[in-house]
Amino acid sequence: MFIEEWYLISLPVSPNSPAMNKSDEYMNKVSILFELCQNHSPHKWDELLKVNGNGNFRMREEVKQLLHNHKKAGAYFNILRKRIENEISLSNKPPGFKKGDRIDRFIIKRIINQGGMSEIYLAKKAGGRSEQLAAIKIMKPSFRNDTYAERFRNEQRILSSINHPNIATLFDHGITDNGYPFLIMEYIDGIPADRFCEQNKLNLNYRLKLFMKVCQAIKYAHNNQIIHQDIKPANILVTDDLNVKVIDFGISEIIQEGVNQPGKKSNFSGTICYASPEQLNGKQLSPASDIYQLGLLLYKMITGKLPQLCLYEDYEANSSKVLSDLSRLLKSRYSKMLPIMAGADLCAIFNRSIVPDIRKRYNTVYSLEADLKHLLNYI
Amino acid sequence: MTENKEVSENEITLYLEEFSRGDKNAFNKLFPFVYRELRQNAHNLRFQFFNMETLNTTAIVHETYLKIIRAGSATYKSRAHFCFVASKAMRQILVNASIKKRALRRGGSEKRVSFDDIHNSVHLSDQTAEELILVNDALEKLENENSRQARIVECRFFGGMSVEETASALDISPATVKRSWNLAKTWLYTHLNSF
Repeated sequence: MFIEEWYLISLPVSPNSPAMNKSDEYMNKVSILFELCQNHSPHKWDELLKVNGNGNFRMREEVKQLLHNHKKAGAYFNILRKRIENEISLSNKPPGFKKGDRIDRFIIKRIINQGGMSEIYLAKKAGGRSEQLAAIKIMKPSFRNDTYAERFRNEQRILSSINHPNIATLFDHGITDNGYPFLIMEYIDGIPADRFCEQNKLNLNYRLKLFMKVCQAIKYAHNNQIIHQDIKPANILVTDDLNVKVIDFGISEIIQEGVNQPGKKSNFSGTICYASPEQLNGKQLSPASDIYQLGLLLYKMITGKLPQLCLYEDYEANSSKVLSDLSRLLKSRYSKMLPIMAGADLCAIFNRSIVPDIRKRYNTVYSLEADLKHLLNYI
Repeated sequence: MTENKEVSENEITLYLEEFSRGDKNAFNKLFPFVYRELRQNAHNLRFQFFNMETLNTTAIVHETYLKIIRAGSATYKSRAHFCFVASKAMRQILVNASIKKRALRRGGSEKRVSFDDIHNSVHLSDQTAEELILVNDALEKLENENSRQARIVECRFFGGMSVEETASALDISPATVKRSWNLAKTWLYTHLNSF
């Protein structure tokens, strides 16, 4: 550590002490000559130095060299100063890495996502025989940085503690040469779950099976005391081979079991339209908050839409309207192959996922999954 | 070191006055405190300057001064002395960061920099770090030749102090500061290249 090495440098004393060095006189003469010449054009320097140089050849040569370097010296220190300023400030400029730039053992190919808090780049491993790809998430600096850096560090901590086929893997982390923290993650060549379902016109069966994979990832996270807190289609990527990956554990939190912190409120920073009532009200969060978000995700994945009415306070009053909307949507989309009971069951599952009263909601992902499995048996 | 945390604004003002009268001890009391404050501030400010193009050492020095001397009781003179101490500390912060950078690079690319390092210090590129080390070496040589010029370099280059502030801190005329800075940077540059 570099905390106390200041004493290693030789410190000169007060600024007011005479501080005359042995060679001060010599330097003074150099200084006078240097200045004298500077007031004249270069072709007069030789003559000026000869006349005023006291026959001191070494001094004349030194002054001549200084005169020649003068302009370059000014430019050099200006540039160095500018560079130091750039490097120590970082301001809020986005990291702005370009194709070919190197981060750790990876070479940037292109930018994938330019978010508010971070940039995500596609990169390939340098010198690898086969093309190993990775997604590199780079934190943008920002004021209010402490919460921010904490969030980034949090994601790193959480991802390195978990390992699941449906959760994007963290390979590595570090800080770039110019001070940007980064995470190197598994690159997922996929698209958001809702879009994947629509683009491929998947049948209900497939959609539910994809959703079940999300449940498995979230169940695994909950078993490891982690609440994702930001479940939404954009954070669920599906690849061409129907692989599902949950990404972005940036605002996830580790549940401290048995610790009740009535004073600690959740500081919601996720996506508003997928926020659970607890998140919006700043209440303490439990896995039930993720279950609420899973419920909305399910709705979006099977209907391509979000429910129109989701006013939390009025949910009880509006629930029949919300559920009849869903029922109607399901019928118009899947009528041919949908058994009569399936629509009703799906509505019930959805209802039990998003009911604002936590006591009425599924209390584990496991029970949500169980109901879905049951449903899948007969559609 | 912990007792330095307790240094009050009044004490700092007092030390600055003692220092401006030539008390070497006062400098030794000030330096570690200023060094730590600057380093902390360099980190904090980096993230607050989100609207500005760049954060320069001048800003770090002045913001740190304002943070420590809140009451504004100090005179222009003692502020100049503060900047003098801060310039020296800034030099040390930058040089330490450069040495660390070099050590890390020579230690191989596999060496991990942890996230906590973003809180620690300033970040410099390899090139800047190497050049800063060279400038510092040359400056040490200049210190032996003419210590006043070396101090002017610290004030002007590392602390980003103005000609007037430097003149006030070193008790010399602004014209002398200008002249000496002119010569000193040329001297340094010449010696950088002759290493």
